[in-house]
Amino acid sequence: MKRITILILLMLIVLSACTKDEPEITEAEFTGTLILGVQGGDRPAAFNRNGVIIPKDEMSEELLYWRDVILVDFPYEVEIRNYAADATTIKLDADIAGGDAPDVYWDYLGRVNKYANSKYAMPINLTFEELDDYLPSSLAPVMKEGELYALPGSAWAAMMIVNKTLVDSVGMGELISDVSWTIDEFLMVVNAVQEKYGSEYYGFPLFAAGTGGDYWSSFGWLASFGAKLYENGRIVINSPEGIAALEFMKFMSDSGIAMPGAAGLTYKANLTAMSNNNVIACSNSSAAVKLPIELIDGSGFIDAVIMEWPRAPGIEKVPVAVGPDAGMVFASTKHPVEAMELLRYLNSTENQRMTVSANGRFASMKSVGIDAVKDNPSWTQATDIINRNGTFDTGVGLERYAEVRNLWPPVLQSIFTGELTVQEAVDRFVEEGTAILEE
Amino acid sequence: MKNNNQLSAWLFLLPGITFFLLFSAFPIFRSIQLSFYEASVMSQKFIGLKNYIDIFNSPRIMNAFANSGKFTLLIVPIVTFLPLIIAAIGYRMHKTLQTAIRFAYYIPVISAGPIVTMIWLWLLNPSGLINQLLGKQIFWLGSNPAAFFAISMIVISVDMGMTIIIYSAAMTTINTELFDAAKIDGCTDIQEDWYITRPLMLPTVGFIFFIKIIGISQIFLYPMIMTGGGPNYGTNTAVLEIYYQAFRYGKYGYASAIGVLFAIAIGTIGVMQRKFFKER
Repeated sequence: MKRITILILLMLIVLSACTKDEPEITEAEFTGTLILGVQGGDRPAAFNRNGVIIPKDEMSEELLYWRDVILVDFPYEVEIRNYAADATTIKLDADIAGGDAPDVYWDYLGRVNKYANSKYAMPINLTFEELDDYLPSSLAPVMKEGELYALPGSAWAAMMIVNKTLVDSVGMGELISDVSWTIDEFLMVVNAVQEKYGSEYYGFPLFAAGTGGDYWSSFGWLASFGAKLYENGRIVINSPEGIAALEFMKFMSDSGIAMPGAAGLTYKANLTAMSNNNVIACSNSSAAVKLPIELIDGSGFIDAVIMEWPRAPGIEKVPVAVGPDAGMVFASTKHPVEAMELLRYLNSTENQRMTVSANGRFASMKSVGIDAVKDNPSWTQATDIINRNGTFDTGVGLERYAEVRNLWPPVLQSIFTGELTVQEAVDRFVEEGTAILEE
Repeated sequence: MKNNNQLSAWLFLLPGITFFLLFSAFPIFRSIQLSFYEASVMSQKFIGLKNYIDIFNSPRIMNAFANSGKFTLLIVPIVTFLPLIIAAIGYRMHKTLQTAIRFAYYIPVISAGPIVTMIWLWLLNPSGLINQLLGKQIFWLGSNPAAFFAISMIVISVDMGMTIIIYSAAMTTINTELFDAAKIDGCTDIQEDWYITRPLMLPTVGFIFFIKIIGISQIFLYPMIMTGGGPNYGTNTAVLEIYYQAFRYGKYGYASAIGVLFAIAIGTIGVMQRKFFKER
């Protein structure tokens, strides 16, 4: 028995010595092409890989944002498919229906969320460390029934930008020395400015032509009165606070505090208002005040600062409307591993740090840190405001977000033109919006 | 020989018939079919007449139909008869002046829609040229019914050029001996226009009136670019609503149902109008 055992052991030793080494299992080199669906796929780069802004007159069609800045370090070939966005996703719908969905889709969360669910998207499995790196508030809108279907990217925030030069010129700089102020203080400044410079100086450029931005701009005023648009996925604007906020906007429109013709004014009017130097405040991202604002007539610059949206009596916190980007992998992808790799790359700490640094956006991951933006006072202020006040529920986490959003400009238009009372406009919005959400 | 002729006739007709079947007949049939479905790009479900019932219960869609009707009622008479007057006046002018007038009115026709729109946006700006000339601040695109009239004004300006050319061409076919005879009888220019030009131009006017009803009722581009159908749906039209329902909300079935109803409405008006002119 002993001999037999020794013989078997010897045979095993000889056998193992004669057996060739198993070839090392290496991942096959991926030679295909991934398709990345994005908005503005053909836009020129506005900043370089180091997050340094490219001056407008040096921007070129030769240097494209997605191809030459974002994807430049990604190892595989990527075809960029441009989905121009006008609050619709219809071109993407058509591609999905035709069996030609992109592998990865990266866009504003309001549009991504339509597909970030079990029907279209691949679930994303993050390691514990990765999960821990994301801010919980950024993950909430992309979680569906306990599964993660999209990765939240960096976000921009609709801040109130105040013309410090103009406010200082009427001796009221003290009121904006702290980022927090009240509606009464805002009205005092408007009064002082209009008394000194005349009625063609305004408090705020309300705009509602439906060209984008009006949705975000109006949220600041809703938040000022403690109103909410959504709560737990339901429209709740028909509240005393909601009515009060819209009544105040109507008051601003009627009394000359807001620029006249608000129902027909566009986002462009809002953007140029500050550089005309005849408005006290407007709505924009914190990046807008990174540098002094050049006046439109070329006569000089004005200083602008970020403020909280003014508080109505009894309101302690004024939440900020925040618009994140997000990315997802379509379940139909033929290259799930590489597609997921692309998604992780797009939302890598390095890429987020770059957009945060260049655009003053707000990171969704702790690892991005604040080094890139710590010297940007407007970003620091905006972060403080968001941390202190929280964020406004814009409904961006809802699958039917884009459709309900389209109903908002007519609400403001009907109020500003006086065709409907605030209550009638709100009732119509609640009825139509709720019908869409319940379909 | 006869069979050969028939075969070649069919062969010549084949490309046209194929195009008609593919790009006209099939989409019409498909639209009618889709109107009974809850259809998005990704799914279809038969729902019978629900889309039609929803349309009649929707104040927004009814308002869009009404706006299309209002645009048609305001614009069609102007773009039918004003070019006739201009063409009649131009007809008596010197050839060079005649060409200059036609060219001036034709410029908006050959200009790209978005360029015309940009010029009008500049003119209609609250501090733009039109308000400066009027000495008033009218929010042309930001209030009702100003936006409705602003859009109408633009459509009229763009639409007249081609009609003037058609009328001018039609007038050259009138036998000039009739005018010579009228002159000998001592007719004034206005009498010539009324008793000679008007009756002989009636078939052309009828044709123009017919195609203008079809064209203007489908007004889409200028409301789309200039107001997006606003303010407060004040310039929202049936065709714009079809576009929104299909391409903004992805409701192809609902959009098709609006399209079918709209086609029925236009068809009915067309039949009535043809009958009217035939009787005349």
